Amino acid sequence: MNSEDTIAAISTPVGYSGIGIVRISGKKSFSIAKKIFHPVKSKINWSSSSFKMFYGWIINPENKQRIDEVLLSLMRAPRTYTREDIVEINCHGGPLPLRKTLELVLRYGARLARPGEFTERAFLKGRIDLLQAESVLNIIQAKTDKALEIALNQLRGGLSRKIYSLKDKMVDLLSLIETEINFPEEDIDLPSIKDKEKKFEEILRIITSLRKMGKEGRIYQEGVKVVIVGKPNVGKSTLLNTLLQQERAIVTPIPGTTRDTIEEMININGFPLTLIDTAGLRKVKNKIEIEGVKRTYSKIKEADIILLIIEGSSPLTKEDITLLQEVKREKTLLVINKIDLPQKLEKKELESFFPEKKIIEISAIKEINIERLKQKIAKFVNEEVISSSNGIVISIKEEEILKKVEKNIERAFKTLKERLPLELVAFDLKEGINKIGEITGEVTTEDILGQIFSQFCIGK
Amino acid sequence: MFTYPEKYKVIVVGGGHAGCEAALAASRMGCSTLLLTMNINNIALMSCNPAIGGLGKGQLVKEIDALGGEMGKAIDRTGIQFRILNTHKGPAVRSSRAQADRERYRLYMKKVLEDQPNLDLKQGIVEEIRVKNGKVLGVETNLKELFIGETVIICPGTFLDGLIHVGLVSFSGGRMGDFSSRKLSESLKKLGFRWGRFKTGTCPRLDGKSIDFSKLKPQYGDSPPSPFSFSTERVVQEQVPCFITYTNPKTHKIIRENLDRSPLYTGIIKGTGVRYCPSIEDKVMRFPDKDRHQIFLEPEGLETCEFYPNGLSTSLPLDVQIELLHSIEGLEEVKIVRPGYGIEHDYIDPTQLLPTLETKLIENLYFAGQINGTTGYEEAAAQGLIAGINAALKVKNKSPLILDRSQAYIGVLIDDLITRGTNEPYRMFTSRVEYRLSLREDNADLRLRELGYKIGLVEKEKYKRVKEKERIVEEEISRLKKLRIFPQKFINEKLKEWGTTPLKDSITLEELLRRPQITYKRLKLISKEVKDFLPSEEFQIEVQVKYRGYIERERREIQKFKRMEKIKIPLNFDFSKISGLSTEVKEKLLRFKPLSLGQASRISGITPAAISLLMVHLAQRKRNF
Repeated sequence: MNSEDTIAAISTPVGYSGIGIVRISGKKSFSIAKKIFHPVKSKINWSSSSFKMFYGWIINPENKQRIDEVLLSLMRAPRTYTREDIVEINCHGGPLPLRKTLELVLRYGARLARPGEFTERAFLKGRIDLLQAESVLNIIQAKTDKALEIALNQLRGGLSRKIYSLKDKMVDLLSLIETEINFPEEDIDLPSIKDKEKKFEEILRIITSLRKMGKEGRIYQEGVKVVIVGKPNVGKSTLLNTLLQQERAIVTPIPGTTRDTIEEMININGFPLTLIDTAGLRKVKNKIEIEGVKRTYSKIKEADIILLIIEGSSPLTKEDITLLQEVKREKTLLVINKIDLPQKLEKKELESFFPEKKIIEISAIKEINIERLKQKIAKFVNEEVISSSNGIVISIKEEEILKKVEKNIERAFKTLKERLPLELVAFDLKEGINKIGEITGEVTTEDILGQIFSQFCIGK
Repeated sequence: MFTYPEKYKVIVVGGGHAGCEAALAASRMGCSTLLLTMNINNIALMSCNPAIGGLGKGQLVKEIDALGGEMGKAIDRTGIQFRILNTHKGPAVRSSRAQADRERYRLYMKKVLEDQPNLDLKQGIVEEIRVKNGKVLGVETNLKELFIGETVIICPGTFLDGLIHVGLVSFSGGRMGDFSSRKLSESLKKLGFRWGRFKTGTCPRLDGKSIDFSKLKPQYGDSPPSPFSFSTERVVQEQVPCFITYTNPKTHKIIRENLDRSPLYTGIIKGTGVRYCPSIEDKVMRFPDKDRHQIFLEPEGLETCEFYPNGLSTSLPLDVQIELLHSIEGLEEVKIVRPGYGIEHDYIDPTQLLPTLETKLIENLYFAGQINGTTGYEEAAAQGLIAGINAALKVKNKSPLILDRSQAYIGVLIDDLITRGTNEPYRMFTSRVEYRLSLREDNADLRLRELGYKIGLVEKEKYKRVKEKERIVEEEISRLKKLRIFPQKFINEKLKEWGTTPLKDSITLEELLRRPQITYKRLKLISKEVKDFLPSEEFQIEVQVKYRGYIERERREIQKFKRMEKIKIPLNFDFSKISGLSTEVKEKLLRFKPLSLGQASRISGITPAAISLLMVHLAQRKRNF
């Protein structure tokens, strides 16, 4: 209802369409865009450009990471849909870049729009008439009801159970504190400060694990992590580039060029994948390379799928064998590269490590069998990764909320530890409960009072 | 039928805590006012425990006082033990409470009413509300007297078809020793109000001569006592202690064995009881693991030997009451002067009211107090004051006084009642207040004096004093922000002694005062620049500095809240015409008739999507007119 703040949302249907639009409306739209958008070849006059499109990159200003290659439209108030400054970012990279772009926009000052809020603004500013607004809002309301149904279904899922139990624990603690505040004259046993501290610690633990679990299970939003490993110069970067079909990693024939890990998103048969190219693994002397190798090992640990690459054009080396022994076999596909060259590899040697169905022969440079590799990865994702994940999906909204709740709880806990007045502890705890209520449904005063009176014998 | 020749601007029916405030407010605002009560001797009588204030309730009394009501002054003149509760949990949840001398309180209030110009006091039992063309006309008494009034405020308390229970005996009555107003209840039902039935109860009164105080722990009040009213300088009357005792397993056994004679546990009492003041039988049954319950023995006054055993509300038969009392330490030989009893009464569903407490059904008819489903003297007085003020404003053709949830506990109380209704007797708690840190006892004058002055209930002098306080506090805070304090040996030693880190560089006095360990008093000890002010002013400076961050966060929330509150909905807005709203939402809106978008959003079951649609329609309407 507050038309002074700036709102943003993904304004195309959620799914795996090639492109999607992040729309921003409000006073801060342009300044937010300016912070995260880097035009290629063109210059933008941020104070006068309007109804123009620019080509460029969304880049995270903090770590300079490229998020997506986009087209940016600037539309200056008042002749826009909402009569406010509007920026639309046409993303290309599928759900993850879209999500990451929206996250950046939110981090730099926008608030997530409610369903129908753009239309609401359009109407309130007189841009569209009642009939138009009504029809849009009706559709949105129908959608919201559908969403509610889905939410209810999710209720049975692990995430909801966890979030509800988190809410219950918070309500429980607030009830205890409110009892202490509201009934100083009663002869009742109240928890000590130590007890309360323990309860805070437990709540924080749940939030941390929720956020972590959410991340693990966020396959559909974050992508399956596919890590490419192999000894130096085996063609890891070439494979990555072939899969991406774009020049991203630097490919040279000098061993050890890719010293850091490189991450890219691709979409295989509807599954979003994060491809992670790693430094080649071999015995190293160089300090920078040692660092690269360390990172590679940590990436291997995090991986959902490992693509272990060896070359068909040479016999197995010691390095290959070490790798074959070290990777977790159940999440590894063995890729034999360079089959376009004369073959010197003894395939029988491999059979002791991997069953035949987990081995595939390709040529990354000549693009032989790449399609088959993709199929194999997709099948693997379907069979191994999805079914073994815990099915927990945390939406942007939920993650935003959990982040805020965590902040509230940390603050309340700190206030308690500093022995500041209890009413201040209650203040942050209550604010946290109000926020989590945006997921679980509002927690009313009656809920708190009900909890108090069922637990304590109160009243004269 | 005799029509009384004088036509009143405001008629108040009922002389309890709501009725007194309503009548005083209306007459003080210059309206000719009539207060009709069944028994002039029982004006402002405390039917239950002899005390005013307590958690959340103290805030109400201070707000009533700041707006120009009487309750705070009355208790300051007649209280016999004053305490400030919760002094260590923060200024916002600190509340005043006082034991009252029941007789003196009643007599004080009666005298104030008697001395009040524009106000007539009359004894009479109102049986019928006269209505013409949807507008109130006056009231009719049992003696067939018709009083004509432009507005009528109904404050019947527990009297509305009251039914008293002692054991399995029950009889009609408004309070032990008084009639009930059954006919008035019938008249309200005939007018079409939705109603329900609540139950409450009270304790037996004991003969103090038969209590063995030597076994009991006394509880004294604060010394010196802090008054409620912003206009009272000092409490001067004698102060006396309360005493504490406990029930025990034997008491509980007696109760359990006699439940077959309890009207509560045999299903005779059907009304919903007060969760917050359960009867002793409820406490014993609901918490079987607890082997004792605390009882406060409260003196009823300075000129009586009666004691009130707070915590022993019961509707058990008289012989069981005696037996259970005798099982309690110090009460082994006690004699009952008046028995405890339960009482059922009618209430009107308060969602039928406007924020002014005028009914939506009949113009110029107002309800205040227990009739609206509340419990407590302070809750009643607050409603009486608001109804009285608004009846007077309506008569004078002025815009109403509506306090919202961000301004006062009174605003929360009334908004809860009219927006959410209540399915049990409603009592105020600090937990109900969203902006609790901003709505404190200590700043009730800063929040509300100006409003009281504008409507004519607060004298100019008093208003000017608040303005002066405001100015002093503001100026002093900005001065403290500019003054720097430098590290010095004696200062750092003091700081260490108080458990806070010594200074390395200079900081402002305001920054230093923000530290939890530093009070304004301590600040004075280490800096000559810090001036002496009145204790209430120094307290205000301290709280405002220490709580600045929190208050600022609340202020932002309040701004958001106000934006929704500002979008008004006309009283007769036709919600059924909005296509796209679900039937359930439409029904709710039609039933509650919210007056602002904010109020609509607080009705249970109204979705954010419905609020968006509603907003769109309201904006459209505005555009068309």
